[in-house]
Amino acid sequence: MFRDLSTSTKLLLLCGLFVLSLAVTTYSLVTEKQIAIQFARKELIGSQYIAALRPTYEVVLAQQGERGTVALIRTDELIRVLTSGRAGKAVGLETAELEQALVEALRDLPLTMAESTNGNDPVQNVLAKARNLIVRAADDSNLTLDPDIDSYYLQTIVTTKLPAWLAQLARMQALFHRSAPSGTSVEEHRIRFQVLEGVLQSLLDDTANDLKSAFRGNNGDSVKKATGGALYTAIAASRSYLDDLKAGMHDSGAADPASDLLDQSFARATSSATAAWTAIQGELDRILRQRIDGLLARLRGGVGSTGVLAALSLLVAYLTLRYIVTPLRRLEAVATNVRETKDYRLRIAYDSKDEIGQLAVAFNDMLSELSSAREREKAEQTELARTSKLMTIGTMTASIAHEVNQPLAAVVTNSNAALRWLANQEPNLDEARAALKRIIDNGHRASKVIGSIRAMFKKDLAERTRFNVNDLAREVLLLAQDSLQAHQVTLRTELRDGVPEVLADRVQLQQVLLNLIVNGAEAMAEVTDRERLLQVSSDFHGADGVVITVTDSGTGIDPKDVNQIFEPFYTTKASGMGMGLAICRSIVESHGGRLWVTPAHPSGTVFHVAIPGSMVGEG
Amino acid sequence: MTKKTSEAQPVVFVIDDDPSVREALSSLFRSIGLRVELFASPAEFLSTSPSTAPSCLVLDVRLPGLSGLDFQTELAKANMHIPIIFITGHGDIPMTVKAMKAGAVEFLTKPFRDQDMLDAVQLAFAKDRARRESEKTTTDLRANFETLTAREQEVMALATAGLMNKQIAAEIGVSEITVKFHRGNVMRKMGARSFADLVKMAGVLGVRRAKAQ
Repeated sequence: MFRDLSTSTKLLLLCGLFVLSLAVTTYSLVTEKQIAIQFARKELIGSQYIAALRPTYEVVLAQQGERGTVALIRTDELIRVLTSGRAGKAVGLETAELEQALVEALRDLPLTMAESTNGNDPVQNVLAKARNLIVRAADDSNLTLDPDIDSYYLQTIVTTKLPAWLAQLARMQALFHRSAPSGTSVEEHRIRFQVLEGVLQSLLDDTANDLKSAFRGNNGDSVKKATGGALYTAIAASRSYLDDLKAGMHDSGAADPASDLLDQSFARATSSATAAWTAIQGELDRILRQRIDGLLARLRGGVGSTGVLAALSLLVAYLTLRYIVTPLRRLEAVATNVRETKDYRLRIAYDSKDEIGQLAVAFNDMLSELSSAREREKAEQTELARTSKLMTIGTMTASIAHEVNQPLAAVVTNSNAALRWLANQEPNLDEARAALKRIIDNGHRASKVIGSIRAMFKKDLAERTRFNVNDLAREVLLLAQDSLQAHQVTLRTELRDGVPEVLADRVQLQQVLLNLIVNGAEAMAEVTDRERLLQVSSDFHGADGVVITVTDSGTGIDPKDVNQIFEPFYTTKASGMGMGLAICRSIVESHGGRLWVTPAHPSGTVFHVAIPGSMVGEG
Repeated sequence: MTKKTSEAQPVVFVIDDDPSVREALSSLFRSIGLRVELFASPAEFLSTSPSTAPSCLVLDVRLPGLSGLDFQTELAKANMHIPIIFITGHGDIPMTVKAMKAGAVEFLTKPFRDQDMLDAVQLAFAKDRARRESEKTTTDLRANFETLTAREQEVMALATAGLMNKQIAAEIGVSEITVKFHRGNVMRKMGARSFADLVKMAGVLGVRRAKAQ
C-alpha cells in the first residue's frame, strides 16, 4: 500500500505530517501563552479598577480632614463615576453588588462631621466598603494569585496594606476629633489610641517589609526607583503624624480639636500615602504590561520560528524531490529509451556524489557493460556464423570461385610460359616440361576443389538429424537479425505449433533459409512507398509435409522469369553469382522436398520450402 | 637515354600468397629473359634491400592481412615509387578505379593474357627508368651546384633571374669584370652548354635570388 505510493507522494505525506505536528505543538504553545496573557491582562484590569477607587480614598480622607462641604460635590462626582458603568468596564469582576454598597455608603456620608455622631462612623463605613470592593476586585482579577514576587508584594501593598493604612489614619483622625464631644474618659481614649497606634505601626512595618520583598524579587531596581522614595516618604509622614498626635495627646490629655497643625500633619500623611499608592500602582501596572508584552513577544517569536521551520522543511522536501525524484525519472527515461532504441551508447548525465549520483554512475557502468556484452554477442554471432560454415550462399560461391580461379590462372600462365620457352631461339625443354608439370598439378587442384564442393552438398545421410523447423527458423532469424535491421525490414513470424519434426541436414537447411531470408530483405531494398515486411511462417500439409514460407513485400518476380530463377548463373543482382537459388533447390530436393515460388499479394514473392515430415518410427 | 648499355638488368618483383601462381609468373617472366624475385607477402618484400635497377611490382589484391591496395598506399606513404601491376581473381570497378587513381600501371584479372602482362611489365619498366633518370639528373645537378662558391651561387641566381652583368655588379658590390669571371666559372662547373641550359638547371634546382632589394 505505502510501498506503491510515488516518492513525491511519500515526501508530501512526510512533509504534511511534520507540518501538522508543528502546527499542533504551536497550537498548544499559543494556547498556553494565551492563558498566561489572559491572566496578566485580567490582573491589569483589576489593578486599573483598584486605581480607579483611589480617588474615593482621597476624597473621603480629605473630608475627614477638612470636614467641609466642598467634599460633598466631589462625593457626588465619585458616585456618578461609580454608577456610570465602571462595572461594565471591569469585565469578569463581580463587583456590581459591592459597588452598589459603596455608592450607598457614599450617599450616607454626612455633610459635616457634626452630623455623624451617632454610632458608626460613616467614613469608616465608606472605607470598609471600598476595601471590600478592592479585595473582591483583587481576588476576581487574579491579582492576589500573582506569580511573580515583585508584582505579588506590590499588589499586596496596594490591595491590603495601603487601604488598611489609610483607613487606620482616618480612624485615628476620627478618634482625635471625636474625643472631646463624645465625653469618653481620657484613659479609655488613650488606650484606644494606643491600640490604633500599635495597629498602624505594625501596618507600616509590614508595608516596609513587603516593599523590601518586592525589591528582592525585582530584576534590577526599577521597583526601588519608582516606589521606594514615595513609600518611605509616606511611612515617615505617617510616623510624624503619629508623633504629632501623641504630642497632642500628652499636652492636654485631650487633643485640641481646632489644632490645624494636626490636621495639616494628617493631610501630609494621607496625601503622601496616596502618592505612594499612585507610584506603587503605576509600577505594578508597568510590571504587568511588561509581562504581557514579554509573553506576546515570546508567542510571536515561537510562532514565527515555527513558521520558518515549516517553510524550511517544505524547502528541503522540494529539494529532495528535485534531487532524488527528478534524477530517478531521468534514469527511468534513459532506461526506457535504451530498451526501445537498443542504443546502448546512451548515458545519464548526473554529476553528484550522493547515492543518486553513485546510482547514475553504476547505471552508466552497467550500460557500458551491456554495450560491450552486446558487442561480444554480436562478434560471437559472426564468429558462430563463420565457424559453423553458415556463410550465405553468395559468400560461399565467391569463395568457391576464388578457389577454382587460382589454379586456372596458374594453368593459363604456365601454358603461356611453356609456349614461350619452346618458341625461344634455343627452346628450353626443361623449363617447358616444368611448366607443363605445374599445369597438371593445378588441373588436379581445381578438380579437387570441385570435388570437395560436391561432397559438401552430398553429405552422408548420417549427417541428418531430427529437429523442429520452428527452432531452425528462430535460429536463422537470430543470425539474420543484423542484416534485416540494416535493410530496415519489419519481421513477422507465424510459426505453427506442433509441426512434425523433419529428418534433415540441419546446416544445409539453415543455409537454404538464410539464403531465402537475405534474398527477401535485399529484394525490398528498392521499396520506399510501403512497409518492408518479411514474413516467415511454418505449416504442415499432408501432401507436402512441413512447409516453410518466406514472404517479402518487394517488387515481385516478372512472370516470364519465374522458371529461370532456379537456373544456375541466373541473377538479377548487380553483384550476384546466380548460384544461390540453384544450390537451395538442389539441397531441398536432395531431402526429397520441393522449393517453389508464387507471387504474394498485393506485391512481393513467396518462397515455399517443403520437407517431408518425419513420423515417429520412420527411418 | 644514352646510358642504357651500362644499366643493371631490370627486375620483376612478384607478391602473391598462392605458390602456384607465383611459380607460373616466374616461369613466364624468365621465358623472355627477365629477372624475377618472388615473395609470399609484402613483409617479405620489404625485408629485402631496394633495387638499384629498374623494377616493377606484380601485386595480388587478395592477400592475407594487409590487402594489395592497402600495401600500395603504404608504399606511397613511405615514398617508395615502384610501379605496380595488380592481379586479382575477381576485380570490380571501384577496386580498379581506386588502384589506378593511386598510380597503378595496370589492373589484370586472373587468368590474364600473357601478352597483357608482359606489355604491362615493359610499360612499368619504362616508367621506372624515366623516374630514375629524372631523379639522377636532379642529383647530378645538385652535386654540381654544391661545387660552386657562395659568390658563384649568388651570381648564378641573379643571372638566371634575368639581371645584366652591370646590375649584378651593382647588386653584390663588385666590378663587372669580376661578374663575368664568376659567370664563366658557373657555366663550366654546371656543365651548361648555353645560358638557356643554365636557366633550365636553375629552375630544376629551385635556385632563386636570395635577397631581393
